[in-house]
Amino acid sequence: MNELLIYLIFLTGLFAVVFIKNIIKKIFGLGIMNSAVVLLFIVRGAEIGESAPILENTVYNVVDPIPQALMLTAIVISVCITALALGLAYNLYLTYRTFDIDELRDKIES
Amino acid sequence: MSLENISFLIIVLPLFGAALVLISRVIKIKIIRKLVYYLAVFSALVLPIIPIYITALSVYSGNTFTGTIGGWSFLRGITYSFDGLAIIIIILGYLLSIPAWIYSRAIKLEYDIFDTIYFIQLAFLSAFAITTDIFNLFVCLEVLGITSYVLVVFADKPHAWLASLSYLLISATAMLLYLIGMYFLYNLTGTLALSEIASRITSIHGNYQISIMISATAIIAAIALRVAVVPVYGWLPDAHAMAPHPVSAVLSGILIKTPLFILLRFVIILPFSEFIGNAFAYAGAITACIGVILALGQHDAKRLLAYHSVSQIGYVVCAWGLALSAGLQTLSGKLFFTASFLHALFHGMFKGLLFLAVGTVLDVSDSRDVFKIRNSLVILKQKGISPYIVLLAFLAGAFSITAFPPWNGYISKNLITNAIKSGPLYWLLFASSIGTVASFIKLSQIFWNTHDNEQSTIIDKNDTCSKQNIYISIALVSGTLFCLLSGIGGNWFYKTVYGFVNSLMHDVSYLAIPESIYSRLTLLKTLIIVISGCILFVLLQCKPVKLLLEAIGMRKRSFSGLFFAFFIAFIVFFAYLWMNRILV
Repeated sequence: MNELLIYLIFLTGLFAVVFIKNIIKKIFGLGIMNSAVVLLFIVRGAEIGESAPILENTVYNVVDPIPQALMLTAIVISVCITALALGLAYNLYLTYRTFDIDELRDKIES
Repeated sequence: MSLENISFLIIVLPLFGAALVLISRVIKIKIIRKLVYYLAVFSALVLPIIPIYITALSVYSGNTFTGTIGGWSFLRGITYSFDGLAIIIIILGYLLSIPAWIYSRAIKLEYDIFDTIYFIQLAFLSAFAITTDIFNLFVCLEVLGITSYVLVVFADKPHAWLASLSYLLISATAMLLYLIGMYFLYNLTGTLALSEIASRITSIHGNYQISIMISATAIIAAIALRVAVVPVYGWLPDAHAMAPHPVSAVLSGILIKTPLFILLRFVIILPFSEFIGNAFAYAGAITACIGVILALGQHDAKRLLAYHSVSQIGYVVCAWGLALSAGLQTLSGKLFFTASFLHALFHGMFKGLLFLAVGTVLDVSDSRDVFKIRNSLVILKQKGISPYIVLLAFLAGAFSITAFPPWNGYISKNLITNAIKSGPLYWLLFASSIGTVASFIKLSQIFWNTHDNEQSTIIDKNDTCSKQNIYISIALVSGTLFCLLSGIGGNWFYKTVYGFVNSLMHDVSYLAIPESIYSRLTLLKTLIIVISGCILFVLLQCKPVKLLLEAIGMRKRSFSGLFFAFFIAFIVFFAYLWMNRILV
């Protein structure tokens, strides 16, 4: 059930990236997809234990720490990509006063 | 210092150079700032040649350094391997990056920021080549992607911003699919090291095979998008055509090929790798043809070259797929893989040269249209750029891409087609070669002279200074020499690459280039291709044919179309794997 919900979140993001014409909403869609993938890994990692993966003698039955470590990196990459994409969108807006991707393409190619 | 540590300098030195460039920005004393800057360039571009040479010698004689970073266990640490595959990719990267960097000095850029990004990209190219950890492959691919998006933007034109944004959105979405594919693999095997996945994947049966197929499809589709195989090539023409010329050269020469070769590390561990090889072989041959057809319909000179990159990567993908299909342990598999890599290397050289030569002409012209640019030699001369060097560089690139002896393209293209011998793949590549000749006759029109002075006017730009012209000349002359010498010394290149490919199989034996390359039959085939190409060029002057090609080549592209192509490729590839699995 958890996984199904996560896939739905992913598809919501994908819908935004593919079908919504506003670039800012596309970038948000990318962020939503990224969050879904992060959740997927974290939920998977949490399936095999209960405690936080702090390796001390008093802590037992820890969750799989590898997915969490991986997702920290994935989040950092996602932040970089979002920042860069927003920067590009802002530059395009300053020049053409629109966020609509089709309108932008038409204006640039004309 | 151990040999292993020396090898890691290949990655560390460019990163150190990138940091030094940033440090040089805050130094106020001019002479020290320049000194630190030159030290940075030296440590990023020149110094790594020493560790590359030492590592290459060791790998060539049969040694491979494998291990985990930080000495962690194989299950937890990030695994790496300095093997034949890694070394040839690193050499490809440096061979092409250095001339492109020299050329970049001739164009107006914010050099320190450009260099920082460029050196980071170079470091991660090497890291990408050595990593054998599936998550680290993702990280390296993302960093290579981010640096590419930024480098494209250096063109500082709205068209480049939009091209970069489109490339970013489709590529980032594909990389999320890669992560989902990795999730399934990790779920099944509990490890990220490719060698461990390989040993555990063989014991997985039944319904779990579907999970492996989904995972393989997601990872392969994500990487195929970066390679720009049909139908997922749509992002490439804009990004490559709009980038600054040296960046176009690096993107076309290096960055679209390295993911393909590194994909080998993943595909060979899968139980159905031969099916994947077959699919790539056909996709490659179709890509070669479609790329040329689209190139023939282009007016924009750089976009035409970008479509030729799609076409030439088709040759590389086709031979790569056939190598995988035959099995890398077999002689024919090694021959195909060597041919595939040689074409990737040589294409990097001649396409880089073509981007720089045509880019130089576009910079001094008032148009990018192949049918409008004329009298380039006169204009170049007026701008103080040696027209003969630019023309020579263009001819070297054009002769190489059309497989004219003794230029390097002749060796690599004929290695591929002679090894295929016959069948639909052969004829698709043959047709593509004919189209390439016609397309380059069309592009060569930018150097034709007309007496109509109105057709070409000198663009009102600041004159390039003589120092910048020297950088242009150095890059073009070195590129021309590369193309010629690698063509004449094709046997040496073949033996060397074959040796590195062989070292992947822990075998130390070398093979000379097949004699059939220089046979009368191959030369006759080349002659037929050239004559057919000339005839095709004449036919293309007919208005209906011209209009049809232009309608295909300059059709309206949509952003959603990129995604639909990607998802269609994903579904078709998964269905193909599933059907083959059922039939077996």
